[in-house]
Amino acid sequence: MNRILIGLIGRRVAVTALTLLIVSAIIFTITNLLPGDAAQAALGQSATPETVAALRQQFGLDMPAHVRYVHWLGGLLHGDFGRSFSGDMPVSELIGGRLPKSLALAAITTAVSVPIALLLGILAAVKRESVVDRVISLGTLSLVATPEFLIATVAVLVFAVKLHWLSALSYSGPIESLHDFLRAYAMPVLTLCAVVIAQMARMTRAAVIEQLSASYVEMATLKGASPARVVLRHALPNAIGPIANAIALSLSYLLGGVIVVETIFNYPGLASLMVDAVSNRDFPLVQACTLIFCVAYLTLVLFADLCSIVSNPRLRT
Amino acid sequence: MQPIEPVQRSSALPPSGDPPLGRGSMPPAAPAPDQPRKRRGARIALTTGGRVGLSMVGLMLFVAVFAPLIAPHDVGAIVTPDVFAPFSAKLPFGSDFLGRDMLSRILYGARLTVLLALAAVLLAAVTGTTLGLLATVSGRAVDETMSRLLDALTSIPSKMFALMLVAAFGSSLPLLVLTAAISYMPGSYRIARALAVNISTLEFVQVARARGESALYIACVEMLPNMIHPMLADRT
Repeated sequence: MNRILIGLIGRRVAVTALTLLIVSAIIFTITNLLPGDAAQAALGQSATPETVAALRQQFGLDMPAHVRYVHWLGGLLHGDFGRSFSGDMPVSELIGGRLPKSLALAAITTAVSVPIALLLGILAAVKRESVVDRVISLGTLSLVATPEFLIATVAVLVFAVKLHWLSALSYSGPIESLHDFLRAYAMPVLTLCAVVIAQMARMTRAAVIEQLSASYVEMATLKGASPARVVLRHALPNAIGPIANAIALSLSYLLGGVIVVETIFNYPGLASLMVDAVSNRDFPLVQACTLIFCVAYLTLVLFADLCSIVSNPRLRT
Repeated sequence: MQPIEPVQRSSALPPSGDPPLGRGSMPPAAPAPDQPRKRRGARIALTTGGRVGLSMVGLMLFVAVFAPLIAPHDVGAIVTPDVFAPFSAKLPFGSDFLGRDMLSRILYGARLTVLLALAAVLLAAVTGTTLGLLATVSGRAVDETMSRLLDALTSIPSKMFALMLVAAFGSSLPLLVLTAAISYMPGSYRIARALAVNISTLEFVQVARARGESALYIACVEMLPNMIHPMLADRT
């Protein structure tokens, strides 16, 4: 099996590289279509034609698009992400400041949401069509339909304004104690968890229900296995494939799609860095951020597929 | 990846109520002139949740179509000098920061939202299904290329993508519809392709292929009607 796994991972890594290439080409095309450019955005009010032309030449924007793209690709192969136009720093420094914070938020949200979502999903599936199931299904459906800025605003209104438990600007000052940690992360994590738990719980419930209607589960029940054993030992290992896919899809939202939460709570993450880069027409930074989001998504999908293959031997061809 | 059984959602469209083919109009093997024909157009059976969902959808559609007739005030008219007025008999939803009637603004806004959502989902579903069917009946090369392209499109976060498109082309309603459609199309493609691949291994598709039917015929007449029900249920 090891050889199969290594062959599979090797193939997937090659496909990932190809996909990243396609993504970078798409993003490069779109950012080139943006009106205005980095030189004008950087100079702002003091933009005369001569200064804009000079700055453009300094940034290397006077070369045609495909030449710039090839230069950028060449730099990438050396590990050089380029130099940000607006920040005048190497892009890797800018991203290195923000990426750990984004990863921290994503990691905390994952640690909180995955166990809760699995628990809710399995509970709803086991007690199908009962009150518990209906409440959970209705709750998750409502949460999935609610936009996250609404949840965030209501959270700020309830916890910060009315109850005074947390401050509205959550990320302020260094984190030195558990109290600071809770104060900084509680509300953003709460908002993100509400969205992510709902999606994962729904798909977990669907996957487990599908497994519970199979004949081997009926056989296990007839053999006299306890309901807990039937679910945890027989049905759940077969449902891991779709569940892992659902978790991967939901978690891939946590790096790039959290722009709304980052803006509301003023959290210094990667998504707001990318939004600023787009408005400044800062190509190297936009490309680098997009590459990071795509790598994260493809890694999560790879991990989910590995889980499917490990749990289902029929997929190992 | 194992296909996930679609969960019955109360807001989903009602399942297709067509009676199974052949029940209404089958020629009797042995002549039985007294055999009553089953009524076509049997009543669509809905659960309570289905009825609630149908009524909610119907209400939204009604509001979307008839908003100018229902709204008590014009959308931009300043109605009252009290800003942020609470609920009252004259202003059922209160007023906003300029003194405009919130109920009228919500009704007009619902129009745009319903239109945008409907158009985007329709466009994404039609495009995704077409591409999925195309990928399945064409050769492996086309299949792989299209899957990789759409995977690349999926890995870009949709909010960032929408931001960049709006920044590049200005924000207009057709562009918003297009952006939303592009964001949802890869998911629709993946579902359509998974279903089509499952169906293409069944015997009647092999028989059609052996008969020499064109790919277009196989896709539209053999595969598509068998895919519609799961597709409608899975479409998010």
